[in-house]
Amino acid sequence: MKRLLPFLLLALGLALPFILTAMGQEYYISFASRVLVVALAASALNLILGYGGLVSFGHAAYFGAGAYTAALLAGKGAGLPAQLLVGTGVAALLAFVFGWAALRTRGVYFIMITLALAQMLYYLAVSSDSLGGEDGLRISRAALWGDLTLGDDRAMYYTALTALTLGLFVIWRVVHSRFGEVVQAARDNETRTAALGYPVRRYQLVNFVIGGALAGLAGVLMTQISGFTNPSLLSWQQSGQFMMMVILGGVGTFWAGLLGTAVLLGLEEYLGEVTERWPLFVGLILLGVMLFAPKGLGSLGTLFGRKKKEVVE
Amino acid sequence: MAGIQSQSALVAENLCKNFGALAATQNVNLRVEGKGVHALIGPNGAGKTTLVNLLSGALPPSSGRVLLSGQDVSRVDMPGRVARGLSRTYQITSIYPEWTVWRNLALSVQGRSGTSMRFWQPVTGERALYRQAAEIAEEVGLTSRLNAPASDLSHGERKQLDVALALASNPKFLLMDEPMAGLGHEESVRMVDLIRRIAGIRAVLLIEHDMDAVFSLANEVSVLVYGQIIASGTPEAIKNDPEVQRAYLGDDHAA
Amino acid sequence: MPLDLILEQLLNGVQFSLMLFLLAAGLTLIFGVMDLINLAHGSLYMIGAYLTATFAPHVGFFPAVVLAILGTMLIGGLLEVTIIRRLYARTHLTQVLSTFALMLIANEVVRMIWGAQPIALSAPESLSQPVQLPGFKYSAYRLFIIAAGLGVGAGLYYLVNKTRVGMWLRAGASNREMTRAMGVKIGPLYTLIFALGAGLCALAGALLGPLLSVQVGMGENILILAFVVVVIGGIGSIKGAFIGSLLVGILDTAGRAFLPTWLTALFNPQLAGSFGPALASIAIYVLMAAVLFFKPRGLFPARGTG
Repeated sequence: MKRLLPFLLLALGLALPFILTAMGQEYYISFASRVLVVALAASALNLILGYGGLVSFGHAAYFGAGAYTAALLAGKGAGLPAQLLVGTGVAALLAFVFGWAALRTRGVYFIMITLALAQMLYYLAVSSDSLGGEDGLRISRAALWGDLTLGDDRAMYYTALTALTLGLFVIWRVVHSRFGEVVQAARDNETRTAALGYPVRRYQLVNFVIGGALAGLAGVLMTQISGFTNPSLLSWQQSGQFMMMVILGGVGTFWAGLLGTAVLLGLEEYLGEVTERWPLFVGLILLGVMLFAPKGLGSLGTLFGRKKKEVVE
Repeated sequence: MAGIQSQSALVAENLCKNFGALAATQNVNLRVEGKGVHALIGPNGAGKTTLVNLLSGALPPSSGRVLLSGQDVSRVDMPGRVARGLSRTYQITSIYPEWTVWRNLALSVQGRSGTSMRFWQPVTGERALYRQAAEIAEEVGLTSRLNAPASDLSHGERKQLDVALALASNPKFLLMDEPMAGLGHEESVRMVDLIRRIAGIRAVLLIEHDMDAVFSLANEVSVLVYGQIIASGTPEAIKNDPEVQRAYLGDDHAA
Repeated sequence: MPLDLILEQLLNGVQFSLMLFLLAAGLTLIFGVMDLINLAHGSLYMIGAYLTATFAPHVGFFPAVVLAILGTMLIGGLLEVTIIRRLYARTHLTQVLSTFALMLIANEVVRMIWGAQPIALSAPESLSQPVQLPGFKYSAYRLFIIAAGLGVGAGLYYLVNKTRVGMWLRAGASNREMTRAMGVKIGPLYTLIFALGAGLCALAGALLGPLLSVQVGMGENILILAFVVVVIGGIGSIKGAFIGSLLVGILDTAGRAFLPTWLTALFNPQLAGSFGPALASIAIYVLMAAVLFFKPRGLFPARGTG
């Protein structure tokens, strides 16, 4: 079952637009694209936060950097491949610089410096005319093939699905590689990992850059989905939301990004239709999960089993 | 100092470490080389663990130098010193409790062959790693526990795993910080045996309170009191040194 | 540039710094003593402002401020007893997200009670006339804020350095075990610290309310600034929070006021118009990065060499 899960999910993903069309709910295809793209960014954060153990509170920076790069390039008439390539590259470079600075510190300082560096980018976007200020930048959707553009919901959906599938594949390979072992070891016991001869910080930085790059990739696609980009993509609330998703999905478990994003965006969408007070309920649910099931929704079932074990230790 | 002898020695030269007003290490000169056990003893709070931290690179010295095989490594970090053949164990066992013994050891031997900046090949496919891990488990007597999560190990077995992790890099010098602490009699006997085997092919700096173990293992003993080495010599000489007896052995180790 | 304009902006900077200090002082104590990252700190600031605006039309500005402080301290204390204290032993990640959730909840509750529109809070009548300073006129209300900020700062200094509670605080910020060993009842002490932090927030919110606007989410941007202050000053250090507040507040205010003009003088106006505001708004983050580069634990680390 566990081996089959990725393929079942992929099959479901491939079939989803047809299912939604059959149900007469085509509106949700675009929503599903958004889930897939945000899930890619959240999975990238899971690589940094869940597997690397680094509480990065500025993940929106890399997501937004990808989005803004794509928008600027689109404005100059560049096509999708160029946007993807440069957007990912810019986010990676940014993650390298920010990560390098932040990794000089640990613990609370690390959380705060990642947050502050991302805020810096946010204010840069808000106050810079060439980045569109508060309004952000509009783009026209990139062409795919002939007359087909990403303005087409299905074309966008399958592009997003491809990106998420590739992204998750990359993350899977990285996590299970030698490199991934060292990164996880550093999370569990940093001192010992250094004492085993691994220059911990270098591994953490590379991992940070991989996560940043994937978030940038997601950002490029986000611009294509919405047709514009604005400073809220860079905001600290956005960073907080990414963290929320990873935690809800079960930090450090492979599907955390996808599960958490689907649950949180689904919840927002559903509550948004029912009540305008939806943030209240999102807040209450998040607080409940943090207090009673901090390992994420997936751990709810095993809550009691786990408690027992903790007592023994 | 830079004679032929120092080519394969771990040397502390006038090593000092201050924490605020507290001088935890004062002018320590120490030399560990060749094969065998060099024991470092001293009452609680004498600064033994601080000295291990200075030698291993966990702490930078306030002044003085650490030489490793003739090279000044005072400003080299821990991984850098591991690469130059120095490794350590921890007084408070430092392992990866959530991982199996096998995975613990596989991680530790990864560094032996090539770089760990390999992003694509699944590590579970690397049979060589697991074979080497099994060899080390055999060496420390953990073969039967390879598949157990490290958190399930007994205290003694954790100590063995801690030693095994330190051995994985094939160090020329091994710093052992109280490997016998908290062990039962039988476990202690096994650990003494293990240390003897380890010291058969490398230099061990052993910090230990168990005097029977120290005097049965060591070729040389140094005594650390208030951050200073007050005596160094053969176990016999140390046992009979009146100053050592007064400062340390006097209380409950009159023998 | 005329000297009086520079002086005026400098005073504005000091005034903002002192309010920032009120937030940062509570934040750094809660950080340092309880090891808690509290994103809901900004919500307490918001609640303080709303309570003041609610009471002021009925009882007058100054009594309203006192009531708001007491009310917010009560809310803070209740929050600590019911939720916050469950978080002390948790990871920073759990703390960040739990208090993030509290912030979302607080925003919605405020929106439910007071509505989504900003509400009015005006400075007291008695301070509405500008004061003649040597060379220029300056807002009496802002001068009052400066005086109040300095007064509270001095009070905090006295509390932390000269009283028994302060001794516990300092001990707690530098060594948690020692506080326990001293036989201090941790539970009530923590509730007290949290309520104190809430009161400082409320004061800042009340005093800044008439200058900024009282609206949902007003606490979020200033919260980030307060975090920057805490990180620059060193977690757990009141002195660090004070110096950090002055650095951040003055740099931020002055940067916004002067950088565009200076840039215009140096480069062409168009370029300055585009980059001036951007540069000014990131100046404090550059400062923070620079401080952490040379002193990764802030200017005045409260904890020993660790």
